[in-house]
Amino acid sequence: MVGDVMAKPLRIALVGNPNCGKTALFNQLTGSRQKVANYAGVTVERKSGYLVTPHGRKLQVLDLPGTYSLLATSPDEAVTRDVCMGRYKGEPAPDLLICVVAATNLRLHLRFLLELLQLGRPLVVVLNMVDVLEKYGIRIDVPRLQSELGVPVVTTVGVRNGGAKNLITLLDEMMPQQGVLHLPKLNSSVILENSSCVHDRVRKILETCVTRDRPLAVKLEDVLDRWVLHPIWGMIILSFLLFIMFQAVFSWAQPFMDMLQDSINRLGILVSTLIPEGPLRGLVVDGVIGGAGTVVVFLPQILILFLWILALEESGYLPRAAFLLDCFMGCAGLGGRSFIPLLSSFACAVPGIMATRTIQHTRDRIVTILIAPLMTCSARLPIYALLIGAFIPNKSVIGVFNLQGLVLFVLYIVGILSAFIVARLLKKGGEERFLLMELPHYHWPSLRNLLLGLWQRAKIFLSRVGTIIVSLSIILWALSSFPAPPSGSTGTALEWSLAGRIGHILVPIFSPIGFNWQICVALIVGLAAREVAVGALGTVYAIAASENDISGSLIPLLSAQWGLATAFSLLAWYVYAPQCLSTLAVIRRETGSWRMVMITVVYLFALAYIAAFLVYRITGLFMG
Amino acid sequence: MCFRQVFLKKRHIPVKLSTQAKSLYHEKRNEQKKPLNTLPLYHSGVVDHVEALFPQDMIAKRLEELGFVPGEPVKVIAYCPLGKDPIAVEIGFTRFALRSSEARRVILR
Repeated sequence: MVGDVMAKPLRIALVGNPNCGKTALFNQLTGSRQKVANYAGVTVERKSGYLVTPHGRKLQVLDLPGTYSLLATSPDEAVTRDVCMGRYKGEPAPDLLICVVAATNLRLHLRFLLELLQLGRPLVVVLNMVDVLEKYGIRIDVPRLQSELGVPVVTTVGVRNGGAKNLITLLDEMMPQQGVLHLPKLNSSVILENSSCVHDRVRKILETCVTRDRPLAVKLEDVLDRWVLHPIWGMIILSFLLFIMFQAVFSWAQPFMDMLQDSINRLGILVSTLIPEGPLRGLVVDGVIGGAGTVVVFLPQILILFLWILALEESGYLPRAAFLLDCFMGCAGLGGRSFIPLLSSFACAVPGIMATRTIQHTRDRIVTILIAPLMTCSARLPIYALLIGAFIPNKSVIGVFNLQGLVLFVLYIVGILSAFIVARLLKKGGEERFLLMELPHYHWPSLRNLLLGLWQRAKIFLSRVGTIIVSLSIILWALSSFPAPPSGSTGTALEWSLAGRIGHILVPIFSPIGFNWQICVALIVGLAAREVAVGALGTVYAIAASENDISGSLIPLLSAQWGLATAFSLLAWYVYAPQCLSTLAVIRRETGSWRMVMITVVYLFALAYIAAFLVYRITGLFMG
Repeated sequence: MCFRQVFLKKRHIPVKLSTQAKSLYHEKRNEQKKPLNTLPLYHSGVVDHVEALFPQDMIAKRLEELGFVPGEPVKVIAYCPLGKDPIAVEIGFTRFALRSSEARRVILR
């Protein structure tokens, strides 16, 4: 009996307004023992992790989406409400709610806290960001606040190492033994009152508990926002940041990519010497190392892209960019709230589509989901980089711009413009839409959060390489190696293989857009995920060339075998083609309808085919 | 909408702010109204009330939850590059981006 109780860790949930530092605190509590879970069939990405207190009690910690109110207006807010109230499908209410309030923004955050208190569930208040109070000259009487609220209050600094110590100590005290929770008894003046006077109540609490040492000095926001939100300067700053971001993806990543490529080549050579000549060596060297290795090389680019996006997100800049772009997004018929999901789609459409949960307006949300795959995700980078490397000369234009970087930039722009046109076509009529977006306080991104975020991305990417891409590479290797050509046959072994035959069957469909049968093979396996196509081309040509250095040899091989028109056509194809099963799966999950998935697939493939066709014909005309 | 009803029924949290706002609205409807979206850049005002444009106006409700309550000072800190929609305002310690249609629900003194 007791053993049963002891086996089960208590569940605690972090709740609070957006921008109260909840996630930083969550990272403090759980460290790297966290997982980002996408529960199947549910439209939510939740983080959960484990915390082991100094006394050895184990707790499961949930990080819930931030919300201003239990009256939810968007799907992510509804999740928080349902979990807090114990109405979440197949999940009991958390044993303890930890309401995080930012000490710097008590006036806003206390309101939600009072609303939560009325639920009457076990609750602890965490006064976060107390380190900034000093700077603002504000003093908060914590014991007084505690007696006013009638629940325990502890102070934390989510962004500092060991900043959550007070909370962990309290949790330890509250749990005399594993699985048992004792709320400390306070002479509670618990307020279960009319919510219409919640704001008065908040004002009263602030009057009694908060004192100001000195009049407020000029805030950082005052100075920065004058520039950052300025109609002209703001746009210049935004374009500059985005431009640097794209340049960084190419130039900063290069040394790391060279290093990775080098070690993969060495691994290939090492393995070739260890394994005797035969099918097994082919499988490992051509299939696994040739296929998956080609994709792993692009990890640094992906991480740098994520580093930028995470840093912009953490610093509080992203909502401001959304503010600046809101009127332009309005031209496309979308709200500024669509900006953040679309920007994260540059990293990957999957989190981007999940981020659309913050859009209250249903039609806006659907349109944003439909155009999110048009944002150039990081999985396209390997393909773009490969083709650009093979066909665009590495020279500078007007002295400063690198031609390869410029072409990449153009590809991104084409995707964005297409997305806007599609959105414009899908959205007619001007219904009223929400914006109501908080512009949070600026702060330096914490290194710990950045590293954790990057680590999670790297893990997701590598596990994809390790699972989908390796297995597809192996299948592809098998398909392209067997059956072996009959003795005395002419032509390469590949043309006799199954993959070669399938490729040849598809050629009539794709020859109008200039694709040869090798590309057709890559496209089929690349249906699962875009970057697989690069691995696939690597495997296909590796078998033909029997080389270890796949990507290195692939570039000259491609530029020798393909015409410029074919290369451009393939680039155009990849701007549009929905070659990513995870995106389609997430669209299904988020919209709950297969119809949306079908619409996405059909319209994107149609666009891809038309664009590739036009590009192929036009380039063909110009090149004679 | 149904979430809201279920929630209200179960938890007995009366949400009467909008009716309060509405009665104020009726009192003041003949007076000169000064909505937030007419406030010039870097100027301050004091919130008088939030006007619900129709019954069950979720935007008005949310504005009140965000702290646009009678007596709060509010300041315009930025306009959008193409005109005055959206605007950025500061209320209390917080800054919000509001669309002009949202800002016009906030009536100043």
